[in-house]
Amino acid sequence: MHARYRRFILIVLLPILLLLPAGAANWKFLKAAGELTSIEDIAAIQQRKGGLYGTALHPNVYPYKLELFAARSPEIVAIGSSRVLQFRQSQFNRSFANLGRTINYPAEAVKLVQDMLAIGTPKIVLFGIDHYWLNPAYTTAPDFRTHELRGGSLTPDAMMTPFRWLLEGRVTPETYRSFLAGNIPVAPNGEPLIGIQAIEDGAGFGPDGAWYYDHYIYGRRAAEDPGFQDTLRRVTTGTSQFRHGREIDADRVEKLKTAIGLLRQAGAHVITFVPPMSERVRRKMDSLGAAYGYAEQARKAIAALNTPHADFLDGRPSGVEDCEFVDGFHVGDVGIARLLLALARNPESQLTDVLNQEHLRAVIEHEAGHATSDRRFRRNGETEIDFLRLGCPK
Amino acid sequence: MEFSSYTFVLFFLPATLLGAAILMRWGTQSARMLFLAAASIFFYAWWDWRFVGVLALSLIVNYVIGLSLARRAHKPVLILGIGFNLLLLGYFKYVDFFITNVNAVLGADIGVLSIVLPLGISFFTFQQIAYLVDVYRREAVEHSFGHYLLFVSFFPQLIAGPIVHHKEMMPQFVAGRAGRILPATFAQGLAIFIIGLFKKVMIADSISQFSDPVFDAAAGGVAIPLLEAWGGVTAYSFQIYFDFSAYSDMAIGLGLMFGLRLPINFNSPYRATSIVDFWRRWHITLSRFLRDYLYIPLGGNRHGPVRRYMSLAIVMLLGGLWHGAAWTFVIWGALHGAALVITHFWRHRVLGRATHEEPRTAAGRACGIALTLLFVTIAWVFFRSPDIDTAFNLLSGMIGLNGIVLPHTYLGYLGGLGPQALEAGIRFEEAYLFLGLRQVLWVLGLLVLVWMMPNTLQWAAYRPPAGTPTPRALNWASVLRWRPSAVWAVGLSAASITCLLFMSRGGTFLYFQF
Repeated sequence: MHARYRRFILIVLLPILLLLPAGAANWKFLKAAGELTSIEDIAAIQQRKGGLYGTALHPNVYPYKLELFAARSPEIVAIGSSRVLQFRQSQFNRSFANLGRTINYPAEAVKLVQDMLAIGTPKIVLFGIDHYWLNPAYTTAPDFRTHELRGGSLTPDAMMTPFRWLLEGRVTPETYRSFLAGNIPVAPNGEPLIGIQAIEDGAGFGPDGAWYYDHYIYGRRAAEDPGFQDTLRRVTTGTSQFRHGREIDADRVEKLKTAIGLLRQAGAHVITFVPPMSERVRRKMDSLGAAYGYAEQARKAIAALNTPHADFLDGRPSGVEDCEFVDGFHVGDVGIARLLLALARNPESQLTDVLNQEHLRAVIEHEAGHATSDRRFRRNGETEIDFLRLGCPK
Repeated sequence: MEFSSYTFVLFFLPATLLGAAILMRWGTQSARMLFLAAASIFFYAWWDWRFVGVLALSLIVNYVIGLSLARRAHKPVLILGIGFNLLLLGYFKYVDFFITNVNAVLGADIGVLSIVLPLGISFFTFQQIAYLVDVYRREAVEHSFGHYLLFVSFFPQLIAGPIVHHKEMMPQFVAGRAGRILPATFAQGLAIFIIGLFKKVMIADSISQFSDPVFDAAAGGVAIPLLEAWGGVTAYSFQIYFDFSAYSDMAIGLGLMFGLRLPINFNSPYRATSIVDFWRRWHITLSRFLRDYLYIPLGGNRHGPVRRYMSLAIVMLLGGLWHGAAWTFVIWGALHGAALVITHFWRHRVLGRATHEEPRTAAGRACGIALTLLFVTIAWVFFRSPDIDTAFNLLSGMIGLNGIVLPHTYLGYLGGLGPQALEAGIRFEEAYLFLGLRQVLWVLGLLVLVWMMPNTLQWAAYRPPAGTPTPRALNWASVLRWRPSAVWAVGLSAASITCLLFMSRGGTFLYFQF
């Protein structure tokens, strides 16, 4: 009698027990792909050899960006959410680091500024402030838990993840075998690719911390926001960044003042701006009237922060067009070139001398209507496509 | 540490099983029990070690009061014990709710304390109140501290029930079953655990994609149209069903693996023919607690129908409040209370039947099941909504006050009826919150599962502790009943590997928040 039960238990558990040694292969796969490399090493490699870092495993942007900041000791930084990620070294003639995607709400801005100043003080801080940060209905994890997730360690979830990628077709069996054999591709320009997303998709952070959307822009993967449908859905349904709200939260404004005050005390020159939304998305938000009642209040409160400031929510006056967006609320680096020149027109910004104006003007002249002008990691023969399916001539 | 997490499945559970197995071979019965209690405390501490103190305080105070009551059944001591438990629960769960309401009513500005709720406090508090009352009534007679420690802290039931009775567990402890890993019970427990895990990872967490965006949008003030509102609420109805069903299965499966039989907490509630029947099938051990320690002391059915209806309403209001410190839960409880009162009144006064009597015809049963599910689903709107405005927003949508929006592609499918539909005010736009045929198929599939198929404990022919409800035995599907066969083993192995691969995307068990 017991033998039947023992056999049953063995048959149930045996495949699971076999799965664990197979996890060892996953460890080797992840290690070869750079997913288990420490962020200190990654930042150092990128400063030494260049390269693209795109992890598919670790939500470790915050500590990674601080490592990058420490490694580069830049004179200029851009701070904010993912919406400032298209500021690039090539746009400046002084050293620059992009610390975008480190701030998702004002309290996090205070934390980032404190952590950054503990490492060093940049001369100029370009502070992109998303107006929805001031909407009290926009809530995010307040405990800074992801700030401690440095990656590099093998968690049980990480050990299982390559199996899931194989099942979902995100990684092909050939790629898996090839990685196990130690054959890791490099970028066409010879720079290293670190992390699965960088290797497979060509998406990740460059050595300056700016993000490359090559997987969408060159059509390697289907864009997530064709026709801005996903962003428009968020606007209509009032989800994630686009939560509806009528009033701003005064406490959040105070947090922004604190962050700016700390930067100034340390001697940094702070320039604030509101990043642009695509015209279609902005129109949709406007059409919902009171649902975004907080928006105007937020923009006024940000403008009143007593810094050199520009509100680019409507990017049209600066020449930004929908075809220059990566999705409904992330403008590409061509659009950023326009914003920088617009910012520099304000003498208080003190940007005139530090901008690579010749490069910026060339970008605007030759790349208008494109999402990117940076082809550093482009693969042979690729050209930007109308990945948003807006009918953009590319 | 969730039951459906890698940490639990790959580390905690194997390590605890191994420890118990070693102690079964070389240790004493007491050592096995202490080990299980220590593992349970570790399990609890994993969430937040600071709350171990709360659990320990509750456990020690109740044990001491229990000893005192065992020596002499002194009513003031019992009241002191119950008061201590209610104070502890009240402080952690209801103080901020109370302050918020005082501020709202009196226009005061008292700062809320932002107290973090220790996990499982609602469960272990009720369990220990029941213990004290049972000791007072001389229904609990065994008072070894080691046994009591494990009785309260045993990890499969610590966080979200079942709310076990002293008399269900102590005889098993005395018989030395705790931590005794035997092939037959282990195999059965493993099968039940894997089925529960599969329900959680592959069903409950999957269907949340249809419900969460709708409730989030409603909370954000979006007027939810008819189809989306019903789609979201129906999806939530199945999400909470499979989530709680999964947790209950996993708790029973884990108990069995360690040699202990836990009471059944979930018995196909969406097959209930009335709301009275529903509460005999949903969260059975909570219903039992409310009946034995609240409804009956309030008078039960001993003082005429009016008093009985009042008691029912009070019990359900408090039952609602037990689930969470918010008016939405109070309304949810009130709705269930009203439904119970109406059902009792209808059966007694209008039909002249006993309350527990089933409908006599198949049509009556089908009608009862459909109406009960409809009512329960509508009531879930209050249960899930973060506030009353959100709930009314959704209810407005469900009765068509926010209009009807169909995906624009449907206009083509309607052919000649399209213009009439437009004339009737139906809008054809992007229906962002309704995922079309996929969503409909999901719901239909789950409806077939809950209405037509045997539940896990029927499949597994689970025998709960003596004196607790047992699910009806399988009839037509008895040929499929779980047995330690190769076919079942391969199927369960495939299910467990699927779960292991997709486990990380999952969410917390819904009942953990209570």
